[in-house]
Amino acid sequence: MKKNKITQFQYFTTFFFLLSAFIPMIGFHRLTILSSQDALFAILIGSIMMFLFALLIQNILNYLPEKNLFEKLKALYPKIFPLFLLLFFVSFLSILFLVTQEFSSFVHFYLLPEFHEFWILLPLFLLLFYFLKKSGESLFHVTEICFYLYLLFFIISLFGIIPQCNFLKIKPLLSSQPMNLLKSSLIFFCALPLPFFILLYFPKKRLHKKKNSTKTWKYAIFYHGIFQFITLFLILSSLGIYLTNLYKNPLMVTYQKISFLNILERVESTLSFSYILLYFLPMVFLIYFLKKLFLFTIPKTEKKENLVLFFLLLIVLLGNQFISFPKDFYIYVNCFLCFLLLFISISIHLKK
Amino acid sequence: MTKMKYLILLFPFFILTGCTSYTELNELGIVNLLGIDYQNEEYHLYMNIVEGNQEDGILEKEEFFYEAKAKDLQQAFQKLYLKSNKKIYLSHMDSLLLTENAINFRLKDILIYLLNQRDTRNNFQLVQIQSDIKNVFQKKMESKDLIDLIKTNEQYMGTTKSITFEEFLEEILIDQNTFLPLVSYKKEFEIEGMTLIKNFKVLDYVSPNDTILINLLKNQIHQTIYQDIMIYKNQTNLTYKKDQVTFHIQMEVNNYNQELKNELEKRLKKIILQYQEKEYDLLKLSYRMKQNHLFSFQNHSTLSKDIQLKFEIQMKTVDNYLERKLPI
Repeated sequence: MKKNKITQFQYFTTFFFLLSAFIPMIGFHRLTILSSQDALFAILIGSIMMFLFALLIQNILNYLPEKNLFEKLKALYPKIFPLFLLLFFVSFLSILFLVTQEFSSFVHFYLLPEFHEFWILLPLFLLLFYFLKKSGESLFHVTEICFYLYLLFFIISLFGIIPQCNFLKIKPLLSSQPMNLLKSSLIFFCALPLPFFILLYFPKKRLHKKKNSTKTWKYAIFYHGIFQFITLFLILSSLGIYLTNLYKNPLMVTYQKISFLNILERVESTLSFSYILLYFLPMVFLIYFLKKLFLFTIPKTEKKENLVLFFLLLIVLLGNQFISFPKDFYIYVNCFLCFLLLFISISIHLKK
Repeated sequence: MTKMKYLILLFPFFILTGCTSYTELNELGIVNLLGIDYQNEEYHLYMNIVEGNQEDGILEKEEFFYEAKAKDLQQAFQKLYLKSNKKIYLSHMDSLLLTENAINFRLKDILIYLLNQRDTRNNFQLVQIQSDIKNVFQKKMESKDLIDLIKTNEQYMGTTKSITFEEFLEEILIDQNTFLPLVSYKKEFEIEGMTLIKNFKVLDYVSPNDTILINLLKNQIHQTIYQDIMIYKNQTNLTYKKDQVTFHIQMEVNNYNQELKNELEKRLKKIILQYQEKEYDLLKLSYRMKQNHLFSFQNHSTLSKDIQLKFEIQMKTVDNYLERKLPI
């Protein structure tokens, strides 16, 4: 049944998108405020850290490869695994709230300023409901299609931004304190744990070529690093370090500057589609993960999958009107997940 | 069930296409020129609005002038909104006129206010007006005419230099020194050179002739006339050593002479040093030095006086049709 299995490319694109949630959730200006133009190096150092960390914890992937994350944890910690599930539920739900909050405020600010945020989220959640009724494999198909669209928009914006660039604005390099450079590298690295956990839910038996999955992780980290490096390089050379630090969302300001032959201008709303994908796909997989977590925790609900999904979406939709999280929360939760990953990895190592 | 799925998928289209916030073009008041003055501790806000009125199915463009006074910029805008029966739309604003008073007393507040507006874009032009600003708006002068005047003079004479809101911000953020093109208005707009701004206050006015020199140093001259010499082409490159900045200037002129070259060198040096004494870094040399020699200039906010300025001017006479001088 090759057809229903997740291909390595789909696996790669999903990991890529989940990692790229870094752009809307943490943002480049967080790096540049700390380490100025050296944020470019922070991306490179952060990517190397991701590589090393992935090598360190790859034993989690290889431990009971035919089982999903929850089954692995159950086998590993038969007594305390409900605590893990609770921790997952709290941290993933709070991240979902945060992503939803950021998405609605982004669309409200840049695209639909006259809309109440509830009306922005409602159609999106209907769409999510439709998507998430499908199997996990279908979600990977959607991600693959979205990747081609993302690539197309990336290339278009690349051609638009390059004429606005003044590469001298990248200078001076190596001007920041080593400690600040390290801090911003760690912030970039913080994008890793969440995607790692989400993809751990999909066991190797659901992949088309099982053996290559570790390689795919490395490719995704590599290409994520390259894409973010190019994006930040273009932002810095078109806005300069001072304006990059001034704006909350320097990427959108850079899009505003794009003009094709002085004919096609004001294309930022169109180009922001690629930005929306960076919210949307992590949101899809977060909800999917939470749904499966809920179904695993309370086995009786297995037949009422749609009902669980409906209530989950309803809680997030309504809760988003009352709860608000600080943006840094994304970094804190990821730090916590990072320690959790290390703990699991060490446990597996000791068990062997 | 399949129909239900399609309905669910179609529903977002009805909401996201913006049908509910649909605004007719003739319901918008498109601001193209905005002016800010500050007198007697009050903001004077002027606005030229283009309104489209539909008559017999034909959309006709009409320009209106609005004025408001208030202690606070936000209040002044609110007063303007009270006077307009259209939705005021700032996204297409082409230029912002500022008076000397507005710059000297309220520049920082104006910048912060504009930065916080979600419907303004940061690519509009900033201009300082020397004469009565109200007159410009009463005569319903078009923003396009003003921008064309500045751009034409910038390109073909070098007597002024345009600046967008974003460039202005960047200049201020680098070292709090910036500039604005300076125009006056009697019966029509006229270029008066440029204004130098330091620490959110007007430092000095530069004449059109001196502006040519500054633009020459900044490699912004495409073509100009300086002291009866026609400059067809100019290329200025700067090289930075730890103790020296060298200006490599290559010019194509209609009549080369050594005297002019010496005179030009003297004047260029004088204009840099003149503002250096006022602690105004005309060419942002301290920042450029930091970019090129970071470790030597990391803690310097102004350019050290030990830095030597060296000029290497190469002038080349361009051929013309005349074999010899006209024997008259």
